[in-house]
Amino acid sequence: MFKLLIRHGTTLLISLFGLTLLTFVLSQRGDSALHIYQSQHFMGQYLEYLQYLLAGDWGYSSIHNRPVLYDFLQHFPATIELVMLALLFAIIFGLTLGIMAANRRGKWLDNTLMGVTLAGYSMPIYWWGMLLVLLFSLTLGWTPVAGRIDYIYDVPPVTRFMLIDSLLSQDQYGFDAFFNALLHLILPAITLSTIPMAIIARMTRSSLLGVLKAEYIRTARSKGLSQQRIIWVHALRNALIPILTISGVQVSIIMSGVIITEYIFAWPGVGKWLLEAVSRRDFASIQAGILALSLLVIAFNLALDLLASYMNPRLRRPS
Amino acid sequence: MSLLQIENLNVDFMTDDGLVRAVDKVKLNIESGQVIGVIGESGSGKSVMALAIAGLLSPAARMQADLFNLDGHDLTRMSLAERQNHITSNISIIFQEPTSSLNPALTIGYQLDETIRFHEGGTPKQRKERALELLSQVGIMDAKRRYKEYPHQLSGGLNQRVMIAIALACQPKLLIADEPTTALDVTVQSQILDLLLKVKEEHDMALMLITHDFSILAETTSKVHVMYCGQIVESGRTYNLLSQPYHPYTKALLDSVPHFGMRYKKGRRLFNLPGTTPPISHLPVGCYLGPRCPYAAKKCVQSPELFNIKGRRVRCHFPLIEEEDS
Repeated sequence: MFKLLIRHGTTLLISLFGLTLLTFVLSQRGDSALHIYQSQHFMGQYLEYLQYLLAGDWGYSSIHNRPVLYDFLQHFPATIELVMLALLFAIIFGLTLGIMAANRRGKWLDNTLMGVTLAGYSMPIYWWGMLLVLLFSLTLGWTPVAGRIDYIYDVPPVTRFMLIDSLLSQDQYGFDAFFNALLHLILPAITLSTIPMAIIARMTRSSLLGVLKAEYIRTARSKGLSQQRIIWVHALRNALIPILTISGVQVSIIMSGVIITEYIFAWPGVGKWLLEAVSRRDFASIQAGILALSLLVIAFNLALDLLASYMNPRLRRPS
Repeated sequence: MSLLQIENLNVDFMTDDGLVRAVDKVKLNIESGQVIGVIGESGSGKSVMALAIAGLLSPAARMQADLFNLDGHDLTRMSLAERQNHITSNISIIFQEPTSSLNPALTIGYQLDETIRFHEGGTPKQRKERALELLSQVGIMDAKRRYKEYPHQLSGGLNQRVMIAIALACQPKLLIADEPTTALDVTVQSQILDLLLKVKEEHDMALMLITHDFSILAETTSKVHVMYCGQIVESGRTYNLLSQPYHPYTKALLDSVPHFGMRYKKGRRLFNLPGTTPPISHLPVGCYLGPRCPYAAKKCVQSPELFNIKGRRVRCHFPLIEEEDS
């Protein structure tokens, strides 16, 4: 496990270096200097920039007239909430659909599912999001059109995660606020999870079908185990390893999708904030937003990689 | 009493070239406690036959038999689930590649334990004791440590021992060993064979040994079936068959093996049968050996049946009896 951490840590350091170098260059593009540097050299200034970042000084937005970190922390929880739910949807439904398809390989269910996922995979999400709004919000009236929660609920921001905060305000509104927040969350999350879900479903199917051909599956069958047990214990255990790695890539797809999705649903998150910053040439905010979103992608990838290695005993305990 | 009786077992595969017959009219009879051998080249259908008997054919294969009796039950009259159940509780199988036959993501202990749970049951503690007992029965020294390890941490020979332990946990009446030693080196090979014979005695099982090594057959089996292109071409008692083959193919196989005390002479080469084994999708008309057979005659364009001759079964119009006797 320790060796594994070191191996992943090295790649982590390299990506962090590239990332901070990029945002450092961006931070110097603004009209007014983001930080005051003592060094004259590029590399010296870069090191000072890193020190500022670590100290929590992410620059000052001249447009909002307050520290970038303040705005960022205002918007970040909303994005995390959306991304987590979308990722959860993508993994749960992606896995389920993939397993169903693999189980009925070549039958109509398999063909239908693969057709649907191909469509989902090729869907432009800004269009798909609007279609969902048209159907569920405007025609059927099931879900609200935009925002995180209706204005009649005055939920005090404790954690800034709306689902948690609305639960905390239970004595005021009961579960009403929570369900209202959930209804607001559901369409953006579906929009955002569509492409990753389709990719995970297709990946699950092909990975599972590949594993089901393995010799150890034949052994499991010869033991007389049930089909359920063979799929869920013997096959999925091995099929999951590449799926987890692929899910890490999905996080970056979700992160780039979150910007447009937040815009469509007027979701007050980092994506929407970042879009506004771009249109106002607010380089301080852009640099901080990019840094934060990328850090999130890196963190998710690291976590999923570690999980995948943990699931694969050949990597966990080298012989 | 005969444990396994099979008549006219056919296995077909649907391929791009149409329906292809991998196992053709196989007739087998295994007594309990008997050790029989099946020998043939790669692609002769031995493994497919083994999988068919063990009920492990892939869905692409179609299998049919006139008679399939296992331990007094007629399998042809059972539903698929019943048949599967009856087969897995009576037949175990081990394969050529022990390491890839074990699940890489699960510990040895887990894979053994689930087998015991399915076939014997018991509390977790009883099962673990049973598992350790089985592991030491198959000659694994530090069973407690190995119980927690993964297949990739064990050598091929050890993994094959684990496979045998798993097979034993099913308490089978017949153990099929499909080239169990091909992937192992020679010393381990003899250990595994000894082990198979030992557990066969202890558990009172029949053993079906599939191989392409005559010396293994000579050492272990009492009866041998020779397969070519999905058919059994000759069967008989091991000693008789090896010392005096009736079928030209058996003779050719035996002649192509170098044996101890052979003198080296310049320009002298081992016997080889001209041509190659035809792919089963393009078999010749009549006797499948016909075009390659040194004894072939006009009659060989007709398919020969399996004849009973002197306690042996031979699929040939011109068995090599007269010449040997005279």
